[in-house]
Amino acid sequence: MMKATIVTAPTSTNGDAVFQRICRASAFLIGILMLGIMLSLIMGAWPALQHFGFEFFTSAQWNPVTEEFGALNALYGTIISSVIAVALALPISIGIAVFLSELCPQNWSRPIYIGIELLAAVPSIIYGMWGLFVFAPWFSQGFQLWAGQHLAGLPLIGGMFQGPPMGVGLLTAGIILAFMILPILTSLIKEALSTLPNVLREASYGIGATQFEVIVHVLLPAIKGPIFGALILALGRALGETMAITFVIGGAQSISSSLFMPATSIAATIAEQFNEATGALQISSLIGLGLVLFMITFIVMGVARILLRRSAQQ
Amino acid sequence: MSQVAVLSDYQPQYAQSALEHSMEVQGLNFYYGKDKQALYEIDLPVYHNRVTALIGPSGCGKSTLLRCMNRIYDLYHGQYAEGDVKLGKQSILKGPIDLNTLRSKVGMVFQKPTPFPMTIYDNIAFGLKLYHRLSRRDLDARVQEALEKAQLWEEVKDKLHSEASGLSGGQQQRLCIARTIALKPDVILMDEPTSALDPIATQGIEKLITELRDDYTIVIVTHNMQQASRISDYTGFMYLGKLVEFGETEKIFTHADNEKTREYVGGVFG
Amino acid sequence: MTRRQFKNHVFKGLCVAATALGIGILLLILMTLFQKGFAGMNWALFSEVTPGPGGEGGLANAIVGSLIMTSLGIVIAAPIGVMAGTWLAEYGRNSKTADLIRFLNGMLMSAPSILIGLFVYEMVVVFMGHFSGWAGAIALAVIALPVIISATEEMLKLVPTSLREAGAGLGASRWRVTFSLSYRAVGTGIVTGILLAIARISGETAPLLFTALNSSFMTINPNEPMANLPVTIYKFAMSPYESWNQLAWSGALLITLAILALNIASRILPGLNKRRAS
Repeated sequence: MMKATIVTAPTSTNGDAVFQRICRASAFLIGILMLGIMLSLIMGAWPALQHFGFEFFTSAQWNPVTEEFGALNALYGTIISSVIAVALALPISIGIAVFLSELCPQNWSRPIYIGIELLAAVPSIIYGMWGLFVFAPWFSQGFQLWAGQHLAGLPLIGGMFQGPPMGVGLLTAGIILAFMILPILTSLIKEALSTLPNVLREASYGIGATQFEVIVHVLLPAIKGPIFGALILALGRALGETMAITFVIGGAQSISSSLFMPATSIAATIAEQFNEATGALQISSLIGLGLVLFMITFIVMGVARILLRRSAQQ
Repeated sequence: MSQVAVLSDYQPQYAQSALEHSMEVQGLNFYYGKDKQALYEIDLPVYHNRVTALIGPSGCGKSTLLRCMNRIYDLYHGQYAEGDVKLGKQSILKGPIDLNTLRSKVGMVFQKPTPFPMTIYDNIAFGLKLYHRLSRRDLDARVQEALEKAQLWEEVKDKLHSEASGLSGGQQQRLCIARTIALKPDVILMDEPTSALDPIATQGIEKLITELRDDYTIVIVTHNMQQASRISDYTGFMYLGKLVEFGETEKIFTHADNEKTREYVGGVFG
Repeated sequence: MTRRQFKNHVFKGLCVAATALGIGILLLILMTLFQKGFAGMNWALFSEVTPGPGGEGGLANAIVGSLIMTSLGIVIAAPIGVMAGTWLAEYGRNSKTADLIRFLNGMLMSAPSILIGLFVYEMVVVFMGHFSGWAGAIALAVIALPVIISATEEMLKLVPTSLREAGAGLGASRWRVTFSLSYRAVGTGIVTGILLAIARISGETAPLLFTALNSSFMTINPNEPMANLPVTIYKFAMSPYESWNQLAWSGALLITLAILALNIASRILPGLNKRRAS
């Protein structure tokens, strides 16, 4: 009665092997792409690195006419604008995350959160246009004028607020970047808050603590790790941001102690000059800037990912 | 082996049986990974067109044994079996076999109803289409036949093309049984098929099993001893990864040879 | 009011202010776009090509170019991304290789998009000898790929083991279970991921600057440099010509509305699916 043998044609198993191989090849493509990006940047930057040596990273010269290129101006603008952005965005995003997950009524929380998330969907170039044509004039007439009169004379920090109120510059770039990284910071902090057990809240409120005391002394310290991870991740995002910065940073190859002065960033320099580059050395130097940016973001993002994963495991 | 030596003294008494074997488990050891042995030297006959129940406390290995009989464990890395399991004369552990064909001949019904995310009709047709090229009319007929056998036809015949997830738990489980018997398997494995259902739905499934007995060989894992005694012809009692005793259900429940078996069916532990 | 209560009120007020600021920025940006862009919303915008300096015209070639390159980019990225995500969720799982690929995928997702542009410039533009729509599409595909991969993996992880076992228990092969059961169970989630990837790449400017370049002509041939909305907006916004500025704002409004619509659609989609299942 036990009829048909089961050793019959395993066609389906062949299909399995083929499908699995195609899937694996697709997944491995990611590794190849990352490797390809790194190698192409190194190869493209090689002539410039060979020509300028280590000085490429430390020189503040960027002169297409004399063909002297150094990364320092762009590096400075990239890092300072990103640090400003993170410093401004962190307290605001903590406020939003706290409001959405702890203070706001449930049925309001979701639509507001969607609004914040949509900020991330707005393309970079729109931030740039808005920053240049709407924010910058307003900023120069408002804060910059006021700061020029009241802050510029202060010792120590006064130098940061000197210079003509042009609207564009390092500080403007930092502020626009802050708006752009607000959603990612908010969503990571909100997520971290939501992982905290309710017992923690109940126990704290149970001893008569106010919302301020519970949130600031109990909840936020409990998610220090994830907040730090989110901060680094947002920093990584800000470092590589291109179009918005190109519009509002001012496009000046110089380093100034004043945050009001025009500056440049790595991404903005590449975006502005790559198509107009006159010589092979300039192209190679621009790719060299790209390599610097790649390495910085790779390290920062790698650290952020490790931090976030570690705090997620706890 | 040695740690439960006392329990393995029992001598198999079914050897003289004239019944035909649908499946036979021989000296089966199973591992969930290196050094994680779950089954020890299992010998179990599965008689043709009979219901065999596997009982025992949770963690005893009864579900694991079931999962060896259609090699569903092969989906997971690191799990492996030694010894032999035969379907008819064919070894399903040794030699090259097509696992998918095996599973179409040894069907499985799971603990929780698992309707596929498609219509009632498509749930049944899914398996059929894998193995048969049927005309629309033949397919309709096979679907109806399976649903009738699973005693679901009357309830769903007017909504064959609505989503299966809309059915009740008991209906979903009967749908899963229909899906399995549509392929006309030689053996149906049921892994605690009623543990997620309410008493009324459980009754329905039990009634269905006793009626399927005429056409199918069934192996059912259950933690419910009354259920085993109600619906099975043969019962195996498992404990700590070993088959402690196997025999006719009536004997196991009334005068089992092994003391451990008597204690378990008597409700002393479990 | 006690000191503690006062502090509590100030704190809550600050949180509300932060939220208002976030929402306010979104509204301000949208308001600006409508204010400056709406005036140029007319038929000519869609029917005429980009004008010369100071001239009148529309954005037809840029819209067509963007649609073509975005579509090509997604057509390249979606199958590869879905299959790579499938490998991570179904085959690679917890292996070291899968972990490494997951890590690299995360890094690719957060790599500055201008670097993707440089990469494709060196790989494709230098190789072909000229800028082209293909190069733009490939750059967009590289950006969309990691988004689709991680969405697919996340979604497939939601497929219950019991469904896979039930499929295998009927004798369905693994790829059949994946196609007929897993994809069907979480298909809308994967489609959502692809929609978000489209939204992400349709506003990208930096990677197109030195791949597709731009063009003042209407072309549907991806072998040539191709006009596209983001680069046209960039060029026109930075120019001193008023008509170009107007076109830039209209284009900006257009692209933002399209992207917000995609985002909102991707939120509604899984909701529809849930309603059908219950």
